[in-house]
Amino acid sequence: MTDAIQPAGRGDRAIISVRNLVKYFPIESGLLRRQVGLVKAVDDVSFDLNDGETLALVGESGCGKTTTSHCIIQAQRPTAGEVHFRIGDTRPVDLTKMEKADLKKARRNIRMIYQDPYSSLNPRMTLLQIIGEPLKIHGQVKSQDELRARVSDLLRLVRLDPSTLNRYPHAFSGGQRQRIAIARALSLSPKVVIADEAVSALDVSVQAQILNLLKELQRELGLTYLFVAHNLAVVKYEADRVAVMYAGKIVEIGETEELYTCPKHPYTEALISAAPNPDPDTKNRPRIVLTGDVADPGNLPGGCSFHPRCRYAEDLCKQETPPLMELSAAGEPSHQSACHFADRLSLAGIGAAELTTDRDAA
Amino acid sequence: MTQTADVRTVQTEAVAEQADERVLVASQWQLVRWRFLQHKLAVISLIVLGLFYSVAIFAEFVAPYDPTEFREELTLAPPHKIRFVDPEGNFHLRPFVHPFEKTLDEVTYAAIFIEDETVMQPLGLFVKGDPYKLWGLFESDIHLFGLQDPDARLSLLGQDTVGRDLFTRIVYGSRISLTIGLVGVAMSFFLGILIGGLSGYLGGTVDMVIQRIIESLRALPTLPLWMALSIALPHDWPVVRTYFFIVIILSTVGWTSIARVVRGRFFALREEDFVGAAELDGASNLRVIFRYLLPSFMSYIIARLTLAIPQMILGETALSFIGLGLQPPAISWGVLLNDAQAIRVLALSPWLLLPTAFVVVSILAFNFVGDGLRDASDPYSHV
Ligand SMILES: Nc1ncnc2c1ncn2[C@@H]1O[C@H](COP(=O)(O)OP(=O)(O)OP(=O)(O)O)[C@@H](O)[C@H]1O
Ligand SMILES: [Mg+2]
Repeated sequence: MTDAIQPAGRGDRAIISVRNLVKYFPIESGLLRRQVGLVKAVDDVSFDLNDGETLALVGESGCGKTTTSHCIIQAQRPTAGEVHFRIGDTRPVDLTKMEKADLKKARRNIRMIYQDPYSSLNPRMTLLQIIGEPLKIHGQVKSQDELRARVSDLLRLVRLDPSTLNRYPHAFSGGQRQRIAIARALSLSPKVVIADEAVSALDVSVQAQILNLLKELQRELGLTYLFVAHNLAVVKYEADRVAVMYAGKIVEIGETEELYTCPKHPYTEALISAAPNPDPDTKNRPRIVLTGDVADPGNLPGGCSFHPRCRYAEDLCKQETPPLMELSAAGEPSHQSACHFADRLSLAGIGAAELTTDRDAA
Repeated sequence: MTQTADVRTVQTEAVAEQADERVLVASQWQLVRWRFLQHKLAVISLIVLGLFYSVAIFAEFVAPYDPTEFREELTLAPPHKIRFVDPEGNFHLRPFVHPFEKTLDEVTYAAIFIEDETVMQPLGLFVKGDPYKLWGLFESDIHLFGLQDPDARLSLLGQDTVGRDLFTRIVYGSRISLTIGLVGVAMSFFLGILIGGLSGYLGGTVDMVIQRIIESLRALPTLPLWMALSIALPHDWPVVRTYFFIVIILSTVGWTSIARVVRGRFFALREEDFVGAAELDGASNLRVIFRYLLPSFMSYIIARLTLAIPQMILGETALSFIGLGLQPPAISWGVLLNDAQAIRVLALSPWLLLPTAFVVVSILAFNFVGDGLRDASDPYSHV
C-alpha cells in the first residue's frame, strides 16, 4: 500500500499511477433488491501511465476496460484502490479520495473521449456550445468573442473548418463528430486524454485519419494517452506500451514491440493470432481459436480466470491465481505477465519485420 | 502541408455537405417545426384549434347574444335557414332570415315554428346587440355578427329548452371545455415532471415506491374513479371552485403516464454519453438537468401532453353529461349535452346534440396535432 506511489523505481515518470484498483458491482435480485452476487468488473489492477506516452488497454468486450477508465477519472467511484495523479514535480494526489470541487479541477487535466460520437455530443447544442461548454464552466473565457476565438482555434486544431461553429452535430459525419469530441476534450489544455475505443465505431478508412490526428496532436501538445481498444490491430500503430486485460485483471503489460514479438501470456498470444495479418509471408501462421466464452466477471472460475480457455493450462492454473510478475531483467524495459508458466512457455508473436512494415504503412 | 490535405479529406467524408446550410445550423426547435409543417393534417388541425381558442377568448364578442338571456316564445325553436333569395325570387347579396311564428299543433299541442315569409331580417357584421363586458373589463354592445335589428333573434343553431341561443351557449361553453384540458394537462405536466423526475433521478427505493403507487392508480378504471370523486363535491360550491376540483380529479390519473415517460427518459438519458461528458466537464447537477436532460425530451413531452388533452375534454364532458361535473349556471359542452338527455326532446329537437360536434372536432384536432408533434418531436431519430 505504501509503495503505491513509486513501485519498483519505475513510477518516477508516471503522471497517473493506478494501484490495486477494484470495482465490484453488486448483482441484485427480487423485489427487495437482495444482493445475490458480485460482478468483479475490475479486480486489483495496478499500472502506471507515464508522462507523454500512449498506453493501450486491450481486451475482449466485458473485460473491464471502460470500468477501469471510468474509475480513473472518477466517473464511477472505485470500490477500493488508489489513483494517483501528478503534474510536473507537484505531490501526487489521490483522485479516489477527492471531493467534487477538487475533482472538477483535476479533471481539467484528465479528459475523456467516448466511443460513440453519435451519443457523446448533445444534439441540441452547436459546436460552439459543445466545445465551449468546458471553457465556460471553468470560467476560462470572459466574453462571447473570446469564446468564439478559442473554439475556432480548437476546430482548426482538429482540422475542421472554423466557420462551422454554428452548426449542430447532425450536420457532421462520424469521423467529423469524433474530431469535435477531440476538440472538446482538448479545450481545457489537458495533460492526459483517455480515449475509450475512440475509433471502433468508425469506418476503417476514417479510423486511420483519426488515429493519425491523435498522434499528431500528441506530438504538438505533449499529451499522454490511455488508449482503450478491444483488438490489438488498432493499437499497433498508436501505443508505446500495451496492457492486456482479461476478466477484470491485467494479464500482461509491456512495450508494444516486445509484447507483440514475444508475448508472455497465452491470452496475448491468442489475441495476436486473431488480429488481421496483412503480411503474406506469415499469412499462413496457425490461427489460435479461443474456445469457450469470455469469463463471466459475475462468476469467475477459480485459479487463473483464463484457464478454461487456455491451451497450456495445467492443474496449478485451476488452483492458484497467478500474480502479475516482472519478467525482464533490471535496467531493461518492464515486461510483466500473470501466468504461472510465463518464463517456460514459448509463445508465438508476430515477426519484428511485420510490425515495422505495419508501422511504416500507417 | 498535411494540414490542408487533411481538411480536404475531411470534407470529402462529409455526409451533409450538399445539404442546405439552413439545415446544418438549424436548432432542434427549427427542425421540429419543419417536420411538423410537412404533416398537412396536423397543420390544418392546428389552425382549427387556433380558431376555437380565439372564439373562446373573445366569446362575448363572437357570440351574438347573452348566454343567459331567454325568450320563452322561442323555446326549442329550430335553426334558421340563412337565405339569399326572397320569396319573389330576387337575389340579395346580404343574407337574411325570416322570423319564426309560433303556433301549436292542434293534436299534440307541441310548438310548431313557421317562417314568416313577409318579413326579411338581414344579417350584419359588427352589429349592436346585448351589452357585455369583455373579460369583465371592456364594456361594449358590438357583436361580431347578428341580425341588424337588435330586438330580433338569429337562431343559428337553434334554441334550447328555455329559449336561450344554442350557438351563443356553445361559444361560451368552449371557454370551460377547452381550457379544462389545458389546465388539467398543465397540472399533470407539473406533477408528472416533478414526481417522474424524482423517481428517475433518485432511483432506488424512492423510485420503487413511486412506481408501485403509479401502477395502483393506473389499475383503477378511470371513469368510475372520476365519478366517485366528483360525487364527493358539494353541489352548492361556486363554479370556479368546482371547475378547479374537476381539474384535479381529471389529473389524478393523467400525471401518471407523464411521470412514467419522464422517469424512463431520465434513465435512458443518464446512459447517454453526452450527459456523462457534461458531468466530466464539471457541469453541476442543475446544469445537467436543465441544459441537457430536460431539453432532450421537452418536445416529446409536449407531444404527449397534446395527446392527453382530448382525454380531459372528454372526461369533463362525460362527468357534466351525467350530472356529476359542472352544474348550471356554469356553461360547458358537457352541461349543454346534459340538457339533451330526454329522448322526447331529442327526437323533436336534434340540434341540441350539436355540442357533440364541437367536442368531436376539437378532440380530433388535438389528436392530429399531437400525432404531428410526436412524429416531429425527435428530429434526430431520422437525420
Ligand atoms: N453499472 C454496472 N452494473 C453492473 N455491472 C456492470 C456495470 N457496468 C459494467 N458492468 C459489468 O462489468 C463488466 C465490465 O464492463 P466494462 O464496460 O468495463 O467492459 P469493457 O471492457 O469496457 O467492454 P466493452 O468492450 O464491451 O466496452 C461487464 O461484465 C459488465 O457487464
Ligand atoms: Mg467499454
